[in-house]
Amino acid sequence: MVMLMRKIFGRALCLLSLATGLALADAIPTGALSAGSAQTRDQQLREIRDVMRGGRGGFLDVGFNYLPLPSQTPLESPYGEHDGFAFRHHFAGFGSGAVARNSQLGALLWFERSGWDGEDFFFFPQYNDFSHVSSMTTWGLTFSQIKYDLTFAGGMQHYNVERVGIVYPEEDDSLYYSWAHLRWNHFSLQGNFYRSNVCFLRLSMDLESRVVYGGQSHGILTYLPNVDFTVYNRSVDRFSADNYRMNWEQNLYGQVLYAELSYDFPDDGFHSAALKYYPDPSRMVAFEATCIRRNKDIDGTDDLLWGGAIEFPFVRFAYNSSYEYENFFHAKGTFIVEFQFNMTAFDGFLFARGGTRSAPLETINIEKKNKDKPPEGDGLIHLNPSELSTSNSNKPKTLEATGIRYEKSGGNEGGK
Amino acid sequence: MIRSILMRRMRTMAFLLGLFAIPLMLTGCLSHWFIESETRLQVENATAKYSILSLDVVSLDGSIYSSWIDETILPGERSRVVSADWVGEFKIRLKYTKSADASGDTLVDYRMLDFDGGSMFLKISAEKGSLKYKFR
Repeated sequence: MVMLMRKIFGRALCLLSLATGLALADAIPTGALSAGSAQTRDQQLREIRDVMRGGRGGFLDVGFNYLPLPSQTPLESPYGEHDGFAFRHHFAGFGSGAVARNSQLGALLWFERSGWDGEDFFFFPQYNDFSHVSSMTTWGLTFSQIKYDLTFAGGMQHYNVERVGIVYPEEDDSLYYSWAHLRWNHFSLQGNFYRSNVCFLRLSMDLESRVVYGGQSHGILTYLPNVDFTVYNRSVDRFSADNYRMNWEQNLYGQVLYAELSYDFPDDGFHSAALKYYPDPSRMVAFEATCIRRNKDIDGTDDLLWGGAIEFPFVRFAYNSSYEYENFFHAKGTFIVEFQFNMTAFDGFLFARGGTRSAPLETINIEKKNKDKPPEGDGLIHLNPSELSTSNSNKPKTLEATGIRYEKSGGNEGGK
Repeated sequence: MIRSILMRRMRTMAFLLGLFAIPLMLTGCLSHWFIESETRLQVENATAKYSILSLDVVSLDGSIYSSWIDETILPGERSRVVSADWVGEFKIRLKYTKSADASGDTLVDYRMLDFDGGSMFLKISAEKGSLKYKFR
């Protein structure tokens, strides 16, 4: 009976997935899972760069992808297509405090557990023959000198492999990644290292003027671009491209409409582009239209993938979006839901990562409607309730301090 | 007055959202009720005079294989039930002989089969010299 019910449920689910077009989802290549760790290291350090623009304050991020059907992210192995679930759980936190005049000391932690598994889970995966479950932890300490607008941050990255199935190349724990971040004003330099080798170096110029960091709310300075330039070293990192990547983020209109372009030098050329509309400059809500060139080494094709996403404070919906393609194992052809929330706090301003103005969160003062009406009773706490019943008339109100006692400080009581 | 009603509504909404969040957190556990993550396969040889030697999953390019049912199944017999992590669509290699006692030359038959997961019973029969696979 239970078996029959399971079968019926299974069939109903298959039909549902067919009906909604979800069954047409493309399979995730095993190579995308193997290359996931390099992408995560890069992405986490990019996020750290964004959060450290002010050098102090706080940041909180939490999120996880939700896929109801195993046909949404099947795995493509040499044997065929496996039903299952790609997953990505992440959280991040940063906080800082003043340790001396003009000096701020902070700590940060970024964590992500991601991969592919045969079962849908939150904490305990199935770990089957084709699972790929791993986590990346980035931690560090930050020091900011406010007077010179200078930040130094550094720490380590640990890649922890929980399970690598039979269809992937061997992978081991790699605990010796380290990183360093140096920021002065609008410029920052970031390095990622494995033991004594350089994995990548990144120079960022966040020239755009932002109100939250003491800049301007409008004018020509808000139209300056945010550019970063990264040099990857493939001899250390077998997955990252041995090339130079340039990202250009450009405010197109009033810090609510942005264009982004990512370009690879010298050979690959165009990598991705996006047009993003944030109804509010705090970036709590976003509408994105994206285009990304697929990875030829992993996907076998370098077609352009067009997609989009809508992001609200607690949930993000994406279809073929470049962020999901890059950070969710090249998942495409299916709607991806991510429950997520991130918030930056800086000098009392609250905004999502990368935001330029504070979120329109208002403090609502609830005023008393009946302000003019005399309050019931006289509003005094009567020390003697029996007095209340007799004081209803227009008699002038008095409060007798009957409860206060005066004590003489005697010699043997020791003061008071 | 209106404000208090609104407050109560907000509170109810928050409660309902909280209530909705709990099963969402347990979604993994709940989906296991109707989504199987392994296949328990049993093969029946429904042919009259062919013997099945083994059933393996092979890679699409044929370069690697993983053995699944490694057992000789004579005509009319059933194999043991073997559970494995194969859920999805895979290429199957069936080794068989055209004899009732597993003697003679080993022949090979390739098929793409869809495994939904759970208990699956595969009936292999022969019709006009070609093999026919049917899940029951």
